[in-house]
Amino acid sequence: MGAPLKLAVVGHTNTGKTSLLRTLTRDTAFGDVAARPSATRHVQGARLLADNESIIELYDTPGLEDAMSLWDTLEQQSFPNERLDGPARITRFLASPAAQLRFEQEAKALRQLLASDAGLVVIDVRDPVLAKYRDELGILVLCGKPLLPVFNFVHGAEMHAEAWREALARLGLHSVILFDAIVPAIDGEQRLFAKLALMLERHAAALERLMAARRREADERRQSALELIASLLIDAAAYRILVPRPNDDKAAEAAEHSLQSASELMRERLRQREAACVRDLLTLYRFREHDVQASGLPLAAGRWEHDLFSRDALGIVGIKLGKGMTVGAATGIGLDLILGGLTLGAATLAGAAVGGLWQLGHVYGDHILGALRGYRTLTAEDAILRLLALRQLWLLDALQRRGHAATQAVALDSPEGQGWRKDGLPAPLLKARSHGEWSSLNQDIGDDEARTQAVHDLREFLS
Amino acid sequence: MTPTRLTPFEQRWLAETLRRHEAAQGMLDDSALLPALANTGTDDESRIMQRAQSLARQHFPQWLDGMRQWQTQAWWVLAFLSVVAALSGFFSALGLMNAGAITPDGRALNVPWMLLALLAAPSFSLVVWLVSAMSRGSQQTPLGQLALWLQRHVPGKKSHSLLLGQDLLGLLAQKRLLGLGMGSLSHGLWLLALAGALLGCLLMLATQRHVFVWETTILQADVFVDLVHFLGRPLALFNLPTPSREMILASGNSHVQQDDAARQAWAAWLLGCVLVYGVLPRLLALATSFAFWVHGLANLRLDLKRPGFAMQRARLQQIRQNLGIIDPAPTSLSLTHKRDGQHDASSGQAALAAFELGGDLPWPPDMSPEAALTFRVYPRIDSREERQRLLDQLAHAHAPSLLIAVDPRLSPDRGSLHFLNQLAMYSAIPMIWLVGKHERVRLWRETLLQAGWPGDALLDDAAANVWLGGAAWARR
Repeated sequence: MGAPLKLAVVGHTNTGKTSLLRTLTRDTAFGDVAARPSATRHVQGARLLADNESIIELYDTPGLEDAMSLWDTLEQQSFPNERLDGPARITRFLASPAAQLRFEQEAKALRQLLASDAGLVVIDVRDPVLAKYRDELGILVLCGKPLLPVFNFVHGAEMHAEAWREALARLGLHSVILFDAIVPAIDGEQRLFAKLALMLERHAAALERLMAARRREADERRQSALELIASLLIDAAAYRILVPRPNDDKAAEAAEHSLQSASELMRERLRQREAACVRDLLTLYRFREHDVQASGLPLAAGRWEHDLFSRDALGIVGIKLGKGMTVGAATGIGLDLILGGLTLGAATLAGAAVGGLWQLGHVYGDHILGALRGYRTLTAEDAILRLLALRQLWLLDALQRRGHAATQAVALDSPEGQGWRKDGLPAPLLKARSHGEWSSLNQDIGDDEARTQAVHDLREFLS
Repeated sequence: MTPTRLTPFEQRWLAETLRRHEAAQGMLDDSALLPALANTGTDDESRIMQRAQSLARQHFPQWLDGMRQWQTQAWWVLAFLSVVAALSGFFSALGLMNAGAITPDGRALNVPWMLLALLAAPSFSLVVWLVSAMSRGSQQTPLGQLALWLQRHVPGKKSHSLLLGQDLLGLLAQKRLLGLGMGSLSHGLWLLALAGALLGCLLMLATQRHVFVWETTILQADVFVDLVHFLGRPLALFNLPTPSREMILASGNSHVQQDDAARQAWAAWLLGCVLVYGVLPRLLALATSFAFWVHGLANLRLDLKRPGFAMQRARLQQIRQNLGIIDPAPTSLSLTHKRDGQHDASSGQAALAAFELGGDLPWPPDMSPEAALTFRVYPRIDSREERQRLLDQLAHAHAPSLLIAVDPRLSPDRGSLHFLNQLAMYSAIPMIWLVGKHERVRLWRETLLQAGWPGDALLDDAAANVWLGGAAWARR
């Protein structure tokens, strides 16, 4: 295990150097990003870790802005009779007063590149190859470090990638990587590291470790995320409130009132539960709430734009609300008049047959008892469970892509979600319907083995 | 604050408790702790444990006491159960040895019944344990489930110690540790019971005179001979005697007096059977499951894939990644790109220049042929040489007004500003035309205003067209 690979991230101003670092470090709080030039005026470092080993140290540098004048200065600083190589010329420039004054920003970037093992040159390929950019690249090449040009904004409408490739080839830079810092390809990061490993052989083994660690982390993160979602769904499916059934006309009004307040309570707690899941997913993927807002996802302050129980929210993802009885104006909360939410799925029936009547009583006892004592059961409707599932999966998808503007169109109509719209609910959820004790909304749950198993099964179903 | 150091196991227990707590109640505020935490410890697990410990000491000191209580109680329960096991083994042996009728020859001892009474229950439970250990079914032991059931169904406030117990079970449920621990416990208790029984038998044989008999109504005597010899075969490995065929046949006939050699052979055989078929298998089972338990406990790690821990890992890593600012920003930017000075007004031709204008934008701009004649139109400017040539030309042209077309799709930078400012010095009325509509137009305007350009010198397409038409008309 050698010293970490030091990489200076350099380039023209406002090409997305800091964005690249944010994406690579998965740290939305890194540095300042703004759609204006010279947002970064300092050199800031970040390291990429594989387990506990620091593999890459990345340095974000201020953008180059005045390369043409810098070239002039470099030329003025060389004497007619001497022949200095590139790094020597840059070193001389860095020692000169110009590096402290007019070219302070450029000097910072060049100093960092000289101190690094290699440079990532971030290029906005939406821009044409202008003379000033050629000068910039020329100066960077003078530093004598291996450079890997990174084409950013490759999803832009207008691209000059070919012209850029030619210009880079003229400077001896033949290897290029396409990496959109805002909407990176799923395997973009891996390809970037692989390219670096080819370029910098001494660090190839370490980069390999980093790639493996990143793949493993991504997988673990996804599993954790799916478990969070599964847990939310089980909680929602198993959630129920018993409300008294009116015995005579006088009590009817009071009963109706308690029904209303119970369903309102239920909706509020389901909303809170969903918000908690969203918050956890964001934490897991190292997003802060306001980052998501900027990324174009319809989330505000950790909540979805559309209320969980609004018809709009269901309409957007293409779910129709069930024809089941709804409570007053409240949608999404179902009321079972017969035997409160009793859903005899095939699996539970089989289980009941095996386990005998005792199990049947164990599973449905609460329901039957409630019904006999004159209670009715309120539960969240299937449509709500479907919506919860689709929204969280959508968010997860966006987070995995380090979602920004382009993610908005990705998942809403994605075919993966199709099953959640039409098919029956997955077995673990149906099972949860009859296990009120599985919902953290009903009670403080312990490490119920059956619930853990259900969450596990559902997670498998989701992945 | 409890200054006591926690064992690694207790630290994990605490972390698990905090994870459960945070999953239910939301994350505790740890912003003050996190930065220091991120740079201590050797791995994510130790950092998460450290975090849990700090937060627990801060917010839930009762958890630490609760953990200690749990362990003390566990030891007391263990001691009590051990004593009960040993005593019950001892006294049941006494009872069994005394159960036989008193004959003139001594107390009768029905050998098959004695063997069955001493060994049936331990052997049966051992087999049950073996079967359940082999099958990889339920992760939880009945005892654990009982505890959870009680926790759920016993009314009243759920105290923190019950929750702690639940977390302990949750932690141990990993890698079947709970099963191994419970197995070790039950093997240990059975071992004590069997040892007590052995001691009881020994005591009775030492202090009482027994006559060893067997009885049958329908079986052949040879069955007993074979049985005793079959059971005695492993005993030979330990140099324990087995009654001879004659002795066994004689014992079946209760009228024959038993000689001392036969009695001693029988007694040794009986004790040997308890030792070999009762104590020894238990000892092996205990050693195995205890070894696995200790090994498992030593290798017990938090399951960092669980969402609660995974979130903490993500947060800690984020902090660990940051190397901070290496080279700070300058306190003030150099003002070299401030626009200064202006050329004297003169009576030349109005001029049009295009600075780094995209190839897809037309140059010269669309205008009537007559209008075009009224302007001096310079070619597109990009390279250093072109820039220098334009500056030289303008120095001689004395243009009263100069319209510089700029491509706002590019990002404004210091170099461009510097050059635009240079151009401005060669004209009385320099203007910048931001060609087309783009989100960066606003950025250009801000930057140019900051650099000292007046707002009315910055034209959009409409204003530029008006100016182009107007200037041409004025000239005519």
